[in-house]
Amino acid sequence: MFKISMANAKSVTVEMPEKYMEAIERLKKREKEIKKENLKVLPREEVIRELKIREFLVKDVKISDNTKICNNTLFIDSSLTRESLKINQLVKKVTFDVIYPENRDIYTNTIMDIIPIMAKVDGKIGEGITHILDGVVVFLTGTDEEGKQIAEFGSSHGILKDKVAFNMPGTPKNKDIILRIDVVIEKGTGMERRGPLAAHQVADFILDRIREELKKLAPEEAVKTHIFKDVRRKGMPKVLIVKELGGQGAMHEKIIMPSEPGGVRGGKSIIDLGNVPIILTPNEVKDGGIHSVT
Amino acid sequence: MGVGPSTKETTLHHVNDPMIEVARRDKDIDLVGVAVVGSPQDNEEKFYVAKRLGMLAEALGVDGVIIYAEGFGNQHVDFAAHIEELGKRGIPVVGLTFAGNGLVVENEYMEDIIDLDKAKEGMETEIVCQNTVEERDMIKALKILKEKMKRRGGKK
Repeated sequence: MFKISMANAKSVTVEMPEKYMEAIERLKKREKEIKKENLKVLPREEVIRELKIREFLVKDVKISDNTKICNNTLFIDSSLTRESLKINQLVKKVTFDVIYPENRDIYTNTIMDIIPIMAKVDGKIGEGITHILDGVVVFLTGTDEEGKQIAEFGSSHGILKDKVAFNMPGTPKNKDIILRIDVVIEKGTGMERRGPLAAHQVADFILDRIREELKKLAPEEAVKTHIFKDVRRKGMPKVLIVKELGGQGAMHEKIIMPSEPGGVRGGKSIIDLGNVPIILTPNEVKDGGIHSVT
Repeated sequence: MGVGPSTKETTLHHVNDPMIEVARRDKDIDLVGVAVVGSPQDNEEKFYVAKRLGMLAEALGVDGVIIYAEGFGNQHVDFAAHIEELGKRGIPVVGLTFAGNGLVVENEYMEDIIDLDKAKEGMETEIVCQNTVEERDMIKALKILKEKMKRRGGKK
C-alpha cells in the first residue's frame, strides 16, 4: 500500500524504495502470465486418413434404353428391371420410376430405405476418392406377392409427401428427385431375413450399374469437392460414439462395410457378426460403410 | 416393439450422420471412433453385447461416451445395459434415443437422456425419419458430456 496525502505543499519529492518497483514489475509479469493462461492453445491434430468426396449435379433422371450420366442427366436402362431378377429368386418383380419434387402427392408402398448414389473411384470405403450424385436419391419400396407391405413395426405406405419427414439427415431435400425402385418378393418372406435382404440386393444390383457410370465422370465436372479427415487430437478428452442399431432379424439389420458406398454386396450383416461392437472410423461411416436393411 | 419408419436410420442418414459430423469438428474433444453395436433379439444376448461394449470402452480408455439407440421398446433393454456397463466403469455417458412415453428400463447411470420424440406423440408415427437425430440434438448431447467430463476431471 502506498499513499500520499498533502495540503499547500511547495515542493514534494517522493522516492520509491526498490522493493516497491520490484513488486510492480512482479504484478505486471503476473498479468501477462494470466493472459497467456487464458489464451487457448489449439490441440495438436494428427490426420490419420483423408476421404475426398466429389459431388456431381443431376438435374433430371430418365428411364431409357441404356445407363449413362451426361449433361447433368441420369439415364437408366429400363431392361434392368428384368435383368435384376436373376440376382435373387425371392424377388418376383421390379419396377422403377422417377418422382419429381412437384409430384410427391402419389401413393407409395412402404419405404424400406433411402439410399444415396455413391461410387468408390479410388481406395476402399473410408479413404481415397468417392463420387456422389447430388440432386437425386433412391427410394426402395416393396410388398410381397400377396400385397403385404414389407414392414414389421409400422409401415410407411400411403401418400409419399405425408409419409416422409423431408429435409432430415436421412431423407431427401425439397428439390431432390426420387428414383423409386419398387420390388415384389415371394409371399410370406417379408418377415424373414432373406425376403427384405433380397429386395436390397436387387436395388444394389441396379445401383451398381449406375455406379459404373458415376466412376467415369471427370473430376472437373464436379460441382463441389469435400475433404473429410479422420483426426486425433492428443491431450483432449477422448470421446467414443456408440450407435446401437437394429440386429434382431428381418428388417432389423445393417450391412457393415460393403464394397461400394451405401451398398450391400461385399458387406457383412451385423447379425452374422454377432451384434458385438465393431469400430468404424468417422470417414468409414461418412463413406457409406453402413447399409440400412432396418 | 422395434424400429419403425420414424425412428429408423436410412442408409442416407448414416452417410449424413450429424452425430459424427458435429463430434469430428469439435476441437475440444478427441473422437476416437464410432462403435456400432447390434441390438439382438434375446435378452441374454443383449447383456452379452453390452458387456463387450463396456470392455471395449475400458480398453480404449475413453473419457466419455455418447450413445444412440435406434428404435424403442426392447431396444432400450440393451440401451440401459450399455449405459450401466459404462457407468460402472466411471465413464460419463449421454444418451440419445426415442423415449416417447418413457423408457421400459432405467438405472442410476441414466441421468442424461435426450428424447428424440420430435412429433411429441409418444408413439411410432410411421413417417420416415421424423424422430431421428438432427445436428441440434448432438450439439446438446456434446455440451452435456463436456460438462460431465469436466466435473469428473475435477474430482480426480
